[in-house]
Amino acid sequence: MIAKKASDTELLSQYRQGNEGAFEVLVHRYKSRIFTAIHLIVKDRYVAEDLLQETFIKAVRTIQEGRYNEEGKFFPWLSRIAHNMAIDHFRRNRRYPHIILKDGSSVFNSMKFSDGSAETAQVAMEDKSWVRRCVQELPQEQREVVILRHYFELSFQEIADRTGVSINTALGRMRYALINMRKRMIKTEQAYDKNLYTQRPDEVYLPRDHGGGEHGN
Amino acid sequence: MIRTFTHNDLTRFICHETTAEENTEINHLLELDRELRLEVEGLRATLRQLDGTLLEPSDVAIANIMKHARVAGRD
Repeated sequence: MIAKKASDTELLSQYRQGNEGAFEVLVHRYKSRIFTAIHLIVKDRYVAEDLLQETFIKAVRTIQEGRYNEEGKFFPWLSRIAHNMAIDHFRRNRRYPHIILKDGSSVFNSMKFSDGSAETAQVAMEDKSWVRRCVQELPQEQREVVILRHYFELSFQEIADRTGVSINTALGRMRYALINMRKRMIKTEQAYDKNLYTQRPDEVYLPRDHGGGEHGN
Repeated sequence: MIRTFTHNDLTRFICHETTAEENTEINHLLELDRELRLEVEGLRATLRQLDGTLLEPSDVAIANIMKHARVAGRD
């Protein structure tokens, strides 16, 4: 029997001893965060699913070959694999851009919700993915920090180390990312229903220096 | 004397990376500065929005992962 509250280390130990169910608990523990983070980077559900599988398969291979040596840090290690795979894909795709035919939801994802009408905003509000699009439309450096911090749960020092910038730069990118997302969210909410949300400008506060946010990397 | 905090300090505060001592000082500062309090509350609300954005991969993807995990475990 596997206790769902077992630590990652305990589950890995059980998996190494042949208990496949222990690995399944780990997969279910982290699949959503890893999948969402990958999706925010590559912006395609099918590619994200492929990369999620590759991430876990690489983890399995490393563990079973006895090369896993990150005891107590399974999730940071797994997130590093996922991040590297997603970034590699993103760079390859940027170098060789191509058009992918998508299903209805993916076509919807390509809409510029912030440009639009109340109708556009209403559709966006009904589909909660509009928050994810706020993240996806951030400048790449800001988006990366949000993903690493919020979904991969890295500290700002770890983000700085992983991305090769100072901790102050990482913090600054996070701040501008939040400011930019705030602006987008308020714009979408106001377009959706002006009566539902406050019209008093003093109740919707934005920092005074937000004007440089789009470029404030 | 009230200690001053940078924007980066406030970002650490919003993201729960400040110490208990810093939290006390910043909370005190926010009580005194309405504009700053609104800014921090706004950015915190934005961060909270992200909590509801998790996506679920398909069952097929999870089944594929577990298939590999089982095969690798038996090798």
